[in-house]
Amino acid sequence: MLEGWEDWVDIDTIKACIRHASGAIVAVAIFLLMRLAIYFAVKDNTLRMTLETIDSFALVGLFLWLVYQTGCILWNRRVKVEKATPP
Amino acid sequence: MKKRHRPKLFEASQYIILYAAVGVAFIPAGVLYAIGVSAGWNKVLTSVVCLGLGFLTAHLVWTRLQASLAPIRSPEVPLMQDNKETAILTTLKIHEKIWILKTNSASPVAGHVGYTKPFVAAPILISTAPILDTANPQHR
Repeated sequence: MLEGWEDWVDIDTIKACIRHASGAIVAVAIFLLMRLAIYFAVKDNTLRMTLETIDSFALVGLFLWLVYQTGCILWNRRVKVEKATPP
Repeated sequence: MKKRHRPKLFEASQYIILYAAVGVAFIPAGVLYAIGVSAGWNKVLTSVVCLGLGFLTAHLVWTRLQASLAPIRSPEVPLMQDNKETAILTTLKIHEKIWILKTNSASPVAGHVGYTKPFVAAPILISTAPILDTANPQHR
């Protein structure tokens, strides 16, 4: 019988999540720097707004991808525990 | 002792590369979204469709890049140099065998191991067995 958060999370899961989160944070920082560069470098308003929209889209995508990966990690742990647990 | 920090650095850089690539993978969908919004399409529908498209692209990029970055993991081998056999295999640049040793000893969750096919190791080991025998007198 599976119940409780221990079925989803253990120390390896947390470590994997931290690794993913650190990677995502650096990637987000890169995209924020790009946004800053766009803000200062592009004078044309329309073009700047378009580029900023694209950048925002990438940031949202990155966040969603991090959520998806975290979900995958937790789900894999759950499946592993489920296989190890006798019916 | 210094070498013990390298694998973590490799792993961290690997995830940075992967996530940066995912961000880049969302750019084409972002361009499509920007075009759609400027053309006056439904914002919610366009964003959902474009995010789905971006997710698909990101998945392809992630899978492909993860597979191609996998060989970079081999530098973590020196961690196991106390193992004599592993040290010999490291000298001969056989990473697959070491990878199997590593997966047997380490947690399967840690670090997304699983890109090197275990069956790759067998033929390599068979082919290098004579080399081991001739190179090292102790093996005779």
